Amino acid sequence: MSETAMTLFPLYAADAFGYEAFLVLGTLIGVAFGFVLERSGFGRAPVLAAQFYGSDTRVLKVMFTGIVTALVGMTVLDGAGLLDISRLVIPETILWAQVAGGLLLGVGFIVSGYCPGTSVVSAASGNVDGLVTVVGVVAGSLVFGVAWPVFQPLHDAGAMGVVRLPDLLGVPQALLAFGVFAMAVGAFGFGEWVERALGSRRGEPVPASQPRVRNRVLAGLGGASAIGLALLLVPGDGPGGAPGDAPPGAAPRHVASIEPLALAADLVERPWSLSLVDVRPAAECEAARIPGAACLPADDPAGFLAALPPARTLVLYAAADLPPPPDVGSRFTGPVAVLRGGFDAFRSAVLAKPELPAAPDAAAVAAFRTRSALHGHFTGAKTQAPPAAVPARSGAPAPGGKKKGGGC
Amino acid sequence: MTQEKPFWNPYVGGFVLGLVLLGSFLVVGNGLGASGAANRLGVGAAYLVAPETVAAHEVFGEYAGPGKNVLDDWLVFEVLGVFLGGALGAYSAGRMRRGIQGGPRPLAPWKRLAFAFAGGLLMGVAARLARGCTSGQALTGGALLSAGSWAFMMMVFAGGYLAAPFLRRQWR
Amino acid sequence: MDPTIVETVHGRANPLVDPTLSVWGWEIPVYLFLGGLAAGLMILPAALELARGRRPDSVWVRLGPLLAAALLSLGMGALFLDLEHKLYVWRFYLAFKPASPMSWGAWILVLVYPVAFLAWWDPAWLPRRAVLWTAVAAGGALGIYTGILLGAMAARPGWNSAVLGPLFLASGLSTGAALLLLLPLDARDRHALVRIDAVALVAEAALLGVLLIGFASGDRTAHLAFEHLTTRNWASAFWSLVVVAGISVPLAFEALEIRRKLAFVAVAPVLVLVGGLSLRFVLVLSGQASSFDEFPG
Repeated sequence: MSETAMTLFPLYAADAFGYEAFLVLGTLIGVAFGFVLERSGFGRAPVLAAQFYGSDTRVLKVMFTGIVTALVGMTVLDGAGLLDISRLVIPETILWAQVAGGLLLGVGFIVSGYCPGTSVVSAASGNVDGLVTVVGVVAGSLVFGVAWPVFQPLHDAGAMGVVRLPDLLGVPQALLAFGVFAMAVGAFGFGEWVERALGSRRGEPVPASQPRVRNRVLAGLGGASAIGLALLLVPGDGPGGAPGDAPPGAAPRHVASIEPLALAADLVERPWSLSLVDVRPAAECEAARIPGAACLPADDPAGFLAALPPARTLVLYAAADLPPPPDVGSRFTGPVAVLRGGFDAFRSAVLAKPELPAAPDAAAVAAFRTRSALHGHFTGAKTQAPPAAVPARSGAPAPGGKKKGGGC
Repeated sequence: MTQEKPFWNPYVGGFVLGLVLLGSFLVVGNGLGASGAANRLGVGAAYLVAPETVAAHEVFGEYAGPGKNVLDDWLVFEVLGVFLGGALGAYSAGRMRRGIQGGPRPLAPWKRLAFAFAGGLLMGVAARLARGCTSGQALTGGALLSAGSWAFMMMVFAGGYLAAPFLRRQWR
Repeated sequence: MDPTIVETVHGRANPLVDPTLSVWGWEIPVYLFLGGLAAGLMILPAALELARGRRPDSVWVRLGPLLAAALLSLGMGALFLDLEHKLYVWRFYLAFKPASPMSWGAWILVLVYPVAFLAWWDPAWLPRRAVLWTAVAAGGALGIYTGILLGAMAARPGWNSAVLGPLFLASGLSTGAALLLLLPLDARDRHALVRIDAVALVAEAALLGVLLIGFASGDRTAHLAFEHLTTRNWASAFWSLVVVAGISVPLAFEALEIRRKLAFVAVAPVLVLVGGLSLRFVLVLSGQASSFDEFPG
């Protein structure tokens, strides 16, 4: 497990997509899960119950092949530095609660003929008993809540946090994965022996074994777990090493800079397009700030910024130039801009009275009119001559056509 | 009616199941589950009936209450998918029809359904206690080599084998 | 309330419009769903009869127009619950404003009832084909109107699309066929309706695609609407309930049923109905949440 660098997988933890996509992917993964369970025969209670009478160990075979496949796959990817297992959601160990819960669930399994997941598949394929089991599971969860005082002592008995067998036993993940594979092969052999032995004693048909298919699957899994072991031997590239192999994390955020006049124009024309935040110390900010700016609260500034609407450009400014990129905005997901020259520049550009142009050419007069209008708007001062100045309120033409940064 | 398709070879089914589980780990970072969604469904139904009681409840209040959407959870979406996928699998294999599953000497329907409900009830309590069921603990936690999940898995088999002799009439 | 003066505040000056519109609860989506369903039930029996030259054999298909009228009444009940000034409904019928979709809608609703009744009754003194074509036209107008009603609310980026009308009509046809499929039908009608439902679902999917492409390639406000549907709060419901559960899975069921001649099961129609209702809810709620006030400047 490489702790230092971001790994490619899991994609969600690497910020590849948002929460809503995460939920939608849940539906799609669920479709695949339900389809496989059904096609493996898990929508029918007699198939599942047969596990406990030794006549068909299909449950054991499907479940353990599944566990080994996922385990070996994760081990290889972890060894190759592509996956960080520690960033997966790992069930915590609450030993006694899980021992008791497991025992109870096993009893419920043979009573109903399903486990909670397979009862959903059974209901979906038209079985009324599956549907009733689903209702029972729902009711059982409610019973648990209602009878909480009874279960409370057991609920946290043996709580140990996240405990993984490699850490507990001090055995590398790859070796343990190979061990689980070997154990599974043994269990499959034993299961098939039981099927044959009981079948001949009871005079029942033995489930078709298809040894060629089985051997191919197991050979593939064995090969993959051997690769996991081999990766353990590669120096610096095995688990725990080689941060350099991991793909780089998120690219540094692009921080635009915005000119004081452009900001002033945006504040007049499109106040909804930006959130203006003053990052100077609170006292300075309280005394004088750009109209429309919010002072950055001293407690939890990052949380304040993260809560701003991401559709608006976050414009930050300090007294003078703010050294980009401002790390306080790192949790804000929308576009970020910094006011060039900070509050001082805004003051001299907008809040100070504009000088009449020395050489009255068209461009200078137009620039003066714009500045004058903005100055008037922000200070409340009467617009200076020339009197045909642009109206300060909405509808003002874009000043000088040099708006940049402020949008998008 | 067309012929039912046979079930997949269990090793092939397990392999594909493992790939789905691996895909879930790689993409969203968590494994599969089922009972968590049942819990949220139950709490949600209870919230519709008695919102104040549920919101103030020690256990249920964690899931439902003002400003909380009880169904806003990955497992709820995943189980919706399990239902759809299970239906697609059954229909495309010619296995979808209304019926009650049982052993070679079927019980009276009401008895079989009573067993199904009772078993579900036990599993609902058990899954809350163990923080998951065969999918969320045994399969997912097993593949993640979580110590508690392996203990849970062994106990599921133990419980099943212990209780099986008393339920021969239902299944054999 | 003063009985003589009713003051209403229009557009964005109404305090309930910005920053997020939250005036419409469950009533409007339910009304739009039932309206679409009624449109489907007006069109489908008439179209089947026009295609075959004789009335469909199934009792429930023949009853389709009456079912449409009943569902529409139910939907109007929901709409009525939503109205602020319930006593003034009659004012809709004192005027006809050609530029107002609400006025069109009010009149279409009135038109549907007699047409539905005549389509079911089949009186000898009326030319049958004319009645049937009128039923198809009235149903089409009803289905499109339910979408235009949202599109006319220009204050919301998420409803600013002309595709909503055809989309709701296609959804109305698929849900209408699905509702009929849940009723006891004669084999030939079932056969036809499954195919019609599948075609309507494909059309619905295509129109949803057009809607999304239109939003994605439009201006910033349209982009915002796209974002709301595809990544924001309602995205999970949109993709899971509408696209996967409401369109893709039932389409797969219907394709299997047609191609492999599998026995009919009620799964696809139920999912189509759930998907149709979800579509209305998602579009109304995500539309309400999308606001011009927050579009990226």
